Amino acid sequence: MSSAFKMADFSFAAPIIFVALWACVVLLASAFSTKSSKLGPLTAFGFVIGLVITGYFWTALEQPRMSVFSGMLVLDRFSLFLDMIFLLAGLLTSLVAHGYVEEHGFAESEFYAVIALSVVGMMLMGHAGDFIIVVIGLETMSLGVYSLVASWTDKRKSTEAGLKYFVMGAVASGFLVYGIALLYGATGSTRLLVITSRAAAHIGDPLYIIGLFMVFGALAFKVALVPFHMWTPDAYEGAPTPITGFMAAAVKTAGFGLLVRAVSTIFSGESFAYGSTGWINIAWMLSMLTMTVGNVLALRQTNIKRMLAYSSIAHAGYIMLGVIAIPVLGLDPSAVLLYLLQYAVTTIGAFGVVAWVGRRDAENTGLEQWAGLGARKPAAALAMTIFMLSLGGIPPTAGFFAKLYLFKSAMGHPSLLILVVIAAINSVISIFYYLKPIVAMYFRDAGGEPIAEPMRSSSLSVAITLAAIIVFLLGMVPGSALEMAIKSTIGG
Amino acid sequence: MTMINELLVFAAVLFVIGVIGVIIRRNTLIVLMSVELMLNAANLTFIAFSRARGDVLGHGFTLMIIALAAAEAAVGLAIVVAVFRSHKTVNVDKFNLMKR
Amino acid sequence: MLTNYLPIVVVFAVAGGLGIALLIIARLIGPSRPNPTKMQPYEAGLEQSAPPRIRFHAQFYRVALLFLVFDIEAAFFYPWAVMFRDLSCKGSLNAAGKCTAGATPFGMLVMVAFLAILLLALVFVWRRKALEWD
Repeated sequence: MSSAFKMADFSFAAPIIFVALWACVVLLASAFSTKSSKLGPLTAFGFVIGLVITGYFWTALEQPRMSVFSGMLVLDRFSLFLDMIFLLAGLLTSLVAHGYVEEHGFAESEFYAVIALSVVGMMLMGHAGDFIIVVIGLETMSLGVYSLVASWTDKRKSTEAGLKYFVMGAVASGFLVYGIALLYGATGSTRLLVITSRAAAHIGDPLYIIGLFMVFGALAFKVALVPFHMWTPDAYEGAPTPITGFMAAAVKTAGFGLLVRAVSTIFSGESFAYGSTGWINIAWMLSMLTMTVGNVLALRQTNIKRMLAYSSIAHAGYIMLGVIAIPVLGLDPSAVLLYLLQYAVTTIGAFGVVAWVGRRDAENTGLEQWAGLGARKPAAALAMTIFMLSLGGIPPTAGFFAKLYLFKSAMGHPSLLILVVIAAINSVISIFYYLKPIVAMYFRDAGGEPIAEPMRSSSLSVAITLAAIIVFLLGMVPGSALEMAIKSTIGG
Repeated sequence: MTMINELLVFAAVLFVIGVIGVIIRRNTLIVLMSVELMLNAANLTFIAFSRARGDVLGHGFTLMIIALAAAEAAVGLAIVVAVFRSHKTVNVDKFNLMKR
Repeated sequence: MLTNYLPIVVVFAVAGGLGIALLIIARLIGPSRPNPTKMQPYEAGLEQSAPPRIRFHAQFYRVALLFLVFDIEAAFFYPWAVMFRDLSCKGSLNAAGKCTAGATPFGMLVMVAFLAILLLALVFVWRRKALEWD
C-alpha cells in the first residue's frame, strides 16, 4: 500500500483551504482585537479573494473531473460553481450581518468566523467524493449554523429557534450516518463512485435500499422538503435576520448540491431510481407537496420573515423539480445551478432589506409596519420590489428567467409535464403574497400605526445594492451566467 | 464464532430506542442523549461491518463520528444552557414562542 | 445464534412483567393517604435542610465542554500513528514493511498542520478568557 496522498493535492483544494485559513485569521483577529467593528468587512474581503480563486479554478480546470486526495474530494465545474454561490452568499451575509450586529449589538466576536467556517463545510459538501467528506462537511456547516441561529442569546426566540433546529438537525445527521453505515455494510465502501459501481449487485438488498432512503431522508431534511419541513418556519423566524438569509440561500444550496451529486452517483442505480418505489416517484410527490404546502401556508403570514420562510419551502419544491429532471434528461444540472444562484442572491437581498428596516429594540418584521416605506425610503423599497418580483418569477428579474429555464428544461420529458403545470399554478398563487410587501410599501397609509424607521448602515446598503444589481442583471442579460451554468457539468 | 448478526440487531435496537427517545421524551437533555444513542448505533454498525469484512474503513469512519458527536454535544449543550437562561426550563413543550 | 438468547428474553419479559404487575396491583389496592411529611424527599431521616437541586457554577460546564472537545481530538492520533509509516514513505512499502524509496516529511507535516489548528483553537479560547476561573 502506497502513500495515497500527494502534496499536489493540497494545491487543487486551494479554494477550500484558503477559506478555512481565512476563517482562522478572522477567528484570531476576533480574539486579539478589542473592537469587533472591522470583522465584517474583513470576512467579506476574504470571501472576495475566495471568489477570485474559485473563478480562476473554474476557468483553468482542464479535465471534466479531477480526483483529489485519492478520491476523497472531487473537483469539477459543478462543484466550483456551487462554491461560487456559497462564497457570494457568505460575502453578502457578512456585509448584511455587519450592519445588523452593529445596530442590535448582540453577537460575540466569533460570529463572522463561524460564518466563514460554515462556508468551508458547504464547500466540502459540494466537493465530496466520499461519505466521510459528506458527513464532515455537513456537520461543519450545520454546527456553525446552529450556533449562528442561537447566537442572539438575549432574545428568547433566537435561542428557542436554535434549539429546535439543532434537535431536528441532529436527528437528521443520525439518520444520515446510520444510512451510510448500512450502505457500507451492503457494498463495502463509503466512496460514492464505488458504491455506484457496485449497485447492480445489490438490487433488492434491503440493507442497500434502506441505507439509500435514510440518506435521501436526511438530505430532504436539510433542504426542507415538506414532510421534513417542520423546523423551517420557527428556525427562520427566530434566527437573526442575516442568518435567516444565509440559511435560506447557502444551506439550501449546499443541501441541493449534495442531492444533485447523489443523484448523479449513488441514486442513479436503475432499480433504485425508477419504478413505483423508486426515489424519483417519491421525490415527485415531495416536490409537489413542498411547493403547494409552502405557498398555501405563506399566503396567511403577516410576519415577513415567516412569510419568506414558507416561500423558501416553496422554492425548494421548484428546485426539487429540477433535481428530478437531472437523471431523466441526461445529467445536466445547469437549470438547478442557475436557479440556486439567483435564489441565493435574491433571498439574501430580501432578508437584507428586512434586516435594514429594523432598529434596536424594534425589528419591524410585521407587514403593517412597512406602510409608506416606498415614499420615505424609495431606494430600499425599489430593491425590495425587485427581490419580491424575482421570488415571484415576474420579468424582468433573475427569478423569471431562471424559473422559465427550469420549467422549460423539465418539460423535455412527458412524465414531468404534470409537475411543471402544478409548479406553474403554484407560481401564480405565490405572486399574491409576494405582492403584499410591495402593496404595504407603496399603497398603504400608516394611519397612526407604528411604522418602521430603518437603521443606517453603509455595509448593509452595499449588500442590498449589490444583490439588487445582480438580480436585475441576471434577469436582463442572463446569457453569460447561463453559459457558465451550462458549462458547469457534473464530472460523475 | 462471530457475532455480527447479534451486533447488528443490537445496533438497530439502539437506533430505534434513540429515535423513540427523541420523539417521546420532553426533556431536552434526554433528547440530546437519545441523539447520541443514534450516532453510537451507527458507530456499532460500522464496527460490526468492518469486522465482518476485515477492513479498517469502518474504524476510520467511527473515529470521525465520535469526534463529530463530541462537537455536536458541545454545541448542543451550549444551546441548551442558553435556552435555559432565557426560558428557565428545558421542557420541549414550553418552547412555543413562535406559532402561526 | 439469536435463538440461544431466547431464555434471556424470557427472563427479561418475566422480570419486567412482574415489576409492572406489582406496581399496578399496589396502585389498585394500596391505600393512598399523602401528607406533607410523607411527600418530602428522603434525606437521612432528617428535616430537609437545603433545596435538593444544587446549582453548579457555570464555570464547571464551560471547562467540561472544552475538555470534551479537546480530549476527543486525541482520537485522531491513533489512525495517524497506525498509518505513519505509509505516510512518510515516498514509494511503497515492501512485504517486510520497509520503505524502499526513501522518506518524505509528509506524514510529519500533516500532524503539524493538525496540531497548529488545535493550537489556534487553544489560543482563541485563552484570549477569550474562557480558561480563567473568575
